Amino acid sequence: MASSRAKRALALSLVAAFMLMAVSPIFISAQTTVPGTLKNGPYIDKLVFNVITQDDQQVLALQDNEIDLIGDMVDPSFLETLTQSEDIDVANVLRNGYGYITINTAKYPFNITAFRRALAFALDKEAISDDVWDGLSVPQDSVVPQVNPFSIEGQLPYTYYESNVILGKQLLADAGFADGDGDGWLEAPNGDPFDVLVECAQSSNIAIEVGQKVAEALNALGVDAKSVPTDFYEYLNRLYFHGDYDIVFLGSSFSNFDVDWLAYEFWSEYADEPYWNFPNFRNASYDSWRDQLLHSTDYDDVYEAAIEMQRIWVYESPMIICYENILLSAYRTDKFEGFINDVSDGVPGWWTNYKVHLKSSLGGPFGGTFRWSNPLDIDTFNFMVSSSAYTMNVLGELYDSLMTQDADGNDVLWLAESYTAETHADNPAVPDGYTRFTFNLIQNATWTDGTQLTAEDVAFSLNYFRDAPGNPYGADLSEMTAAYAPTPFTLIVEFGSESFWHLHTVAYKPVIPKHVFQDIGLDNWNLWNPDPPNEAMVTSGPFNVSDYVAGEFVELTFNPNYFYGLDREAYAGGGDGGLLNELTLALVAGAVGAAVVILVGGYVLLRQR
Amino acid sequence: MGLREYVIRRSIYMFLLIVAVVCFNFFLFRLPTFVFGVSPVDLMISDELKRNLTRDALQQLYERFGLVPDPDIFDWIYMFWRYIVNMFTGNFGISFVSQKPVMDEIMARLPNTLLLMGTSSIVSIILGIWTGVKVAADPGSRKDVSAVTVALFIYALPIFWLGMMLLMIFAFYIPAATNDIISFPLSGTIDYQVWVEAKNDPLGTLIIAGNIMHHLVLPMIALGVGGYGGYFLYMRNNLIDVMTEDYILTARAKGLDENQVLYKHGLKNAMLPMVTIIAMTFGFLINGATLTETVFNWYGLGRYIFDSLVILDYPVVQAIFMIIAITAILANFIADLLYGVLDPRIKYG
Repeated sequence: MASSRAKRALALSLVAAFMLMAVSPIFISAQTTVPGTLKNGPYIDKLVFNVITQDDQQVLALQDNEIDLIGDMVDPSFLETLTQSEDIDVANVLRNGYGYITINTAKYPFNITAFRRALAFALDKEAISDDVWDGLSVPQDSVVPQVNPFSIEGQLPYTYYESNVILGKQLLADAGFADGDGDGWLEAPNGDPFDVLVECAQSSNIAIEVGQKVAEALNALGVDAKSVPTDFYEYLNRLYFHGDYDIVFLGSSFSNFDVDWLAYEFWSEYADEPYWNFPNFRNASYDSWRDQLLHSTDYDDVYEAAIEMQRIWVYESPMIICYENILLSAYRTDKFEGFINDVSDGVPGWWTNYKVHLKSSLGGPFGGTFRWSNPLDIDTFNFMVSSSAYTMNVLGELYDSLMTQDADGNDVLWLAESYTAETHADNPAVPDGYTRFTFNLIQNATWTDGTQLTAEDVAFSLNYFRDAPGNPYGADLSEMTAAYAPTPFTLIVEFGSESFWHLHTVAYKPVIPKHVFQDIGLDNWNLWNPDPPNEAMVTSGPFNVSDYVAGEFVELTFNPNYFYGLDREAYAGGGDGGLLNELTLALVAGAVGAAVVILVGGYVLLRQR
Repeated sequence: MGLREYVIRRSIYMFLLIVAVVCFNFFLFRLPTFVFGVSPVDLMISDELKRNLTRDALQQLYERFGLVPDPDIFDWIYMFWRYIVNMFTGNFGISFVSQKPVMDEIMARLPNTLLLMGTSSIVSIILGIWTGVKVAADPGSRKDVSAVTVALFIYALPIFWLGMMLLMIFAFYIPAATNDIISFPLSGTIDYQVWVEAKNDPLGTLIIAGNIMHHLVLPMIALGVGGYGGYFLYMRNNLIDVMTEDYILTARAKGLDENQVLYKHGLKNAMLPMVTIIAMTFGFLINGATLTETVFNWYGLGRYIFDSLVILDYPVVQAIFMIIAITAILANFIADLLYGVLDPRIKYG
């Protein structure tokens, strides 16, 4: 039997627990008051993109509280200034892209794998990160950026990170490179002297410095090489059309994590195809994985193919990745919170616009005007025509897609509520060799003119992109054989081939209103030039264009009927409504908790007696 | 030869000159294509589009811009013919970038350029002439030497540097030091916040006009200061030359007071060379000031020319250069006619 002291301790504990339950609502204020889930938004009223072209002016505008966010990656030279500024935060994210050199593998002796590997080993990528990038980049070997889950980075038994000139020299010697004439430079295995021209963009200091490092690495190997800064577009054109070159420095960026391009970018059959395969790379082992990468519908098979292709690619080194740099974003923290550091875009991206909200001390979470700087004015309101990332900063807010990519790069169902993917093996009704997707759509999405957004719109959009001559959004839809809506909220899309990648091809496409675009017609897709706000645009996204002064700013206003939008009236009073709901919930939870404590405590006490 | 014949002859010359300029423009802006083989399509292919590119899509892209992927001589001749016809029928085409008619794009930017160039030119011309006359009256004096030194200094200042300095001082440091009591905008032609407030204000137009003028001050100073140095030096040197002429000596010998000699006899004659310069200045108003517009983020033609050149937007640069050529040739023509009106000694022919 427990002593009276123990009983008192137990009784006190129960009273304390009860009290804690009873006063639990006061802790609500210490928690975040932002309502909603991942998919809920937006919270701000207006989103303004101010055209500010110069880097330094954008920094000054941020410091001067003229904008809340710099709408581009910040030059690292401003890092110190920004970190020392009041109410400004700087976030960083590893770029989904890299700087690289491409080697002309169709040219002797660069077609010898040992030469390319020797250079890869000799190039000091760590020095590039430390000296050229001041620590704001990391070494990289794989052609797939390391932020991408398909990347082989870190899985190989070797790396090319550190300079290993001795190993490089050994590889060259084994391959027959020797200084036969004693001039201090190696000759090719056939005895011919050769030299290497490393070309880099004269407009970029980074490119010039990396080009110099590459030339130095070649010199260290005993290869006669020099780096020459030259006109970027001139050599880019030679690469596009497979003209003559030795080694060229370039950069590349990706907007998603799909790697189906591995099947085309270095395919032997594309070694002479304009715009593809800059290194003119031909490798039968590499090609042998293409089919599995392109036409398997199983993730593991696709992953295996992507990994094996990279394994071969890194060994063969038709290109040498020099660095994957860190992207910096800068924003003000005095008015808004909830900034999202997106893996693809950093802070200046779609998710920040969607989730950023006023601080509760300023009457948040709803309301406010969130101001970006946009380095270039929007060139058109027709998203199908523009190739400008700055235009897409604005137009990306206007339309939705079946799926989207979350801040970590994962797929999120958006207009689609669910989907199934079938091949002939899954469903005999699907023709052999075909892939069929069946999407079930959410039923509360509407266009801004009040028309309901249905599967008809999605089917129309896909067919429109495919059939409009020259429409860039249809370039990857050539294998789509059908897109139709058997019911208002069911969409069926079929492809004449089996592929894991077809899902993203369809699901990431923006959905356009059928009732607007069927009047515009297929041939006029590029002549459609909306003129908002004089001519209101019919959109479905979280924001729509409400004002525009050419060369100055674009103002977007939140869509009050957005299908993932929160009922702001329920949270009226600067968030008190939401707080009220949560207070009620907390009171109920506290009462239930207290009841449980009383019952359990009472039972224990009764048992003790 | 009389004035009528002179005008006809000059008109024919002008037309031939415009034809030559238009032909030259075709080749000038395609130099990157002729020399390096760079096509505007190459510059418009983003990484993302390149990854999805097919042969058909590429062909369609070229067709969309009225281009040929690998043109031979006959393709070039055809493109040149089509270009000439379009230029002389006023069909300037559609911008590769925005897909909007080029004339619409130009007209959207023209008012801002005229405002900036017009005000800065007028201010610099008036100030340049006025101070030039003042110091030329007393050449070699301390005032003259100081003014010439200052004018040479500011004439040599790079406009973009001056612009950046003005921005740093008047749009950042002084506002920070005075808690925004004295403040000039960092960039653009209008503030978003002012625009929003003015929309609901009965005096909205005035508020917007005031805001535009506020934005105009710094770029106008940057552009005007450079121009001022030029006008001052021209005016001063012309007047000093004129003041050594015999008729000035005669005027003085007649007993006229120095102000009469200076303004009635000296200035009138010294202004003649200035007419050409001023006429040409107004002829080039449409040209815009690329550097100033870029530094101050001014939405005008100067910046547009630069942006379009970088991405080889041929229809835009062709049209703007043709308009510039025509206005410059016309301004020159008008200056020639004015010469005859202002100077009775000049005979046409």
